[in-house]
Amino acid sequence: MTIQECYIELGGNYDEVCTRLPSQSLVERFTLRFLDDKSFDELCTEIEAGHRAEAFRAAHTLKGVCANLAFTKLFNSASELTELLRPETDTVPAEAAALLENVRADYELTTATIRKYHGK
Amino acid sequence: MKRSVLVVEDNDINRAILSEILSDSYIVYEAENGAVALDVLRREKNRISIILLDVQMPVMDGYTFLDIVKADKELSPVPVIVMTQGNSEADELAALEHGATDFLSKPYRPKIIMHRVAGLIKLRETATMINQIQNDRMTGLYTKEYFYELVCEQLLRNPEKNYTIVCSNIENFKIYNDIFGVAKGDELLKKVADVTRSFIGNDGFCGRLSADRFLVFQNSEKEEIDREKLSASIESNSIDLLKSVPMRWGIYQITDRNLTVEQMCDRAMMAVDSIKGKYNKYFAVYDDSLRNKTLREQAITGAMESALKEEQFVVYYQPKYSLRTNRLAGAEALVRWIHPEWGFMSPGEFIPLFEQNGFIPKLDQYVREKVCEQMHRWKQNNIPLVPVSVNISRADMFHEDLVESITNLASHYDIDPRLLHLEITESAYADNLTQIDTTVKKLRELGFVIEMDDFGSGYSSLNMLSTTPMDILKLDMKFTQNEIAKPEKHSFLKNIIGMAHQVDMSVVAEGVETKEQSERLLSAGCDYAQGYYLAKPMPAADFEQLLKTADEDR
Repeated sequence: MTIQECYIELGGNYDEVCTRLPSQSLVERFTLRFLDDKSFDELCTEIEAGHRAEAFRAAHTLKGVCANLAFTKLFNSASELTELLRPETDTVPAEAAALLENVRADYELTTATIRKYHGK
Repeated sequence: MKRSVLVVEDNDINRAILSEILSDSYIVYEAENGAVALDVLRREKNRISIILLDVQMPVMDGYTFLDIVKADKELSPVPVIVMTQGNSEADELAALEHGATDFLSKPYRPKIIMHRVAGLIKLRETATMINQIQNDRMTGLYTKEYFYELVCEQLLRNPEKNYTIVCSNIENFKIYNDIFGVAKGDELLKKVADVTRSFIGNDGFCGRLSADRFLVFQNSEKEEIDREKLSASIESNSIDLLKSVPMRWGIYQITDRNLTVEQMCDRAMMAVDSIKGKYNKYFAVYDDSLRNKTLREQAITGAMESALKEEQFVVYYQPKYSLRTNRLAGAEALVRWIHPEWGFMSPGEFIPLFEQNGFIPKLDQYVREKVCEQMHRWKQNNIPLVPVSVNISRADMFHEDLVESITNLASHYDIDPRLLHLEITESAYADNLTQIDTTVKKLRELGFVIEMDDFGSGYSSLNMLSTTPMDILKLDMKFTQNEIAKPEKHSFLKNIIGMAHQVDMSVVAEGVETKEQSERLLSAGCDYAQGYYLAKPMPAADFEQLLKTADEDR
């Protein structure tokens, strides 16, 4: 599997990430680092705990990272959840659970593809 | 030189990507939240050229960080680019409202980031440079050049208004620096600048002319009000700063707009210089007489060296007579300056100036040489000699080679040391008695005759007469005249002369102008006299005639 194929499989845009990171090895290094990124775990924990603001920040971060790495599919679902969480309410809106599931599915696809690419 | 960028972003990956983008062209500092960023910025504030700031962060978010930085005078000049997510107008607006210099949207667009960062760094550096040209780095006041420019502008814009330039000076600032150190000196300058600025308020502006001199440009009416206020504060001792630091102010009310601003400031400076060191005088307003005096002094100072070379200084001899025998007993060598253009210059004008500017020792040395040369000629022509008194300046007394230089002079011209009377001014004794004692002792041992000059003009100490052996006591002209004017029983003249005689000193009175004075001095026991009543100072040729006739009389 090439890095381009990896990006296609996880629903990303390899050409776009290349505008940000000038070499393939850098792209590879950053995709690997994504496996250690804590924002998805935080997002799950905070939604479960009902902390809207913290959940928003986690979703926002995840969205930001995905934008930079051009993980378009995960970016889209994370964006949707981010916007849901943005209004300053006391609790996490009920619709969040369904959106979180979309994010989870995309996150799992993304991380699994990356692991496969790196042979992990 | 690589500039430094501070990247503030909580997410490791985002931060690393941004650092990666920047690291080829910049040194990158990283911080994972606002609090850490503040620490880094405070530590490296002089090095960091720009900050790239995320908004959503734990511990301290971007807006809080911005609020703190923008409120801090030292940190606020560093430009901050806020990285906003997407194209949210609300985020962009919020960033600018919190004082961000600019914003950039995520995801990162490397080319745009690089251009924006480089552009803002350049803009800031240009602004800093202009600021440095405009403001004095230490005090924050305008620099001299910028001050001049602003004055020019104000004068052009308001041709009908009256303005004043004030130049202030901290007295003895160099000594202050020397005693307390440069750091304390700088602190003082900053304080003075602050006080000046707060005093002027918004009605004028201030600049720094040089180390310890400040300039103020004000509306004339306001300046007069301020001067009165300041004067009252000085009298009531209510400005803390001025209790320990004496300041003076020179004022030039701009009457001649054809002058350059620099010339205007010079006039304010002349005014302040005219009251330097004067007790209880804090303000001086410039007028033309002050300018003429300064110009004259500058001309004299400028001409003195060449005058010496061109032998414009001429030695005159004022005869000295024995009061008992009326015989010529000696002469005092006096310097006269005959300038080719200015003519005969009054010693009262140039001597005090030479004392101030340190030219006196050179001139004294010149006179001594000329006198020895003249005496040598008389001796060769078999003209009988009388002792001639020459000056030793106060500064000379501290020269190690004084004794040697005088001995050499006498032996070079083959003059008997007993014919060379050395006058040392009374006030010199107040300076350093031991040093003077040693020098005087050596000179006497070599045969020179020592005269104490100007006795009675300053802090005369009768005790000095017994502790410092000398040969002749020369009464100051004013002192002599004052004492003679008193009824005989109230005058100290007789007592002083008596005491001098007791320690084997003879006494010369200067400034004898009438027959009565001469008689009074004789009856008081005075030995010699000189003055207009007896003979005026005269050129060497005239004195030569006197020497010849005096000899025939004998």
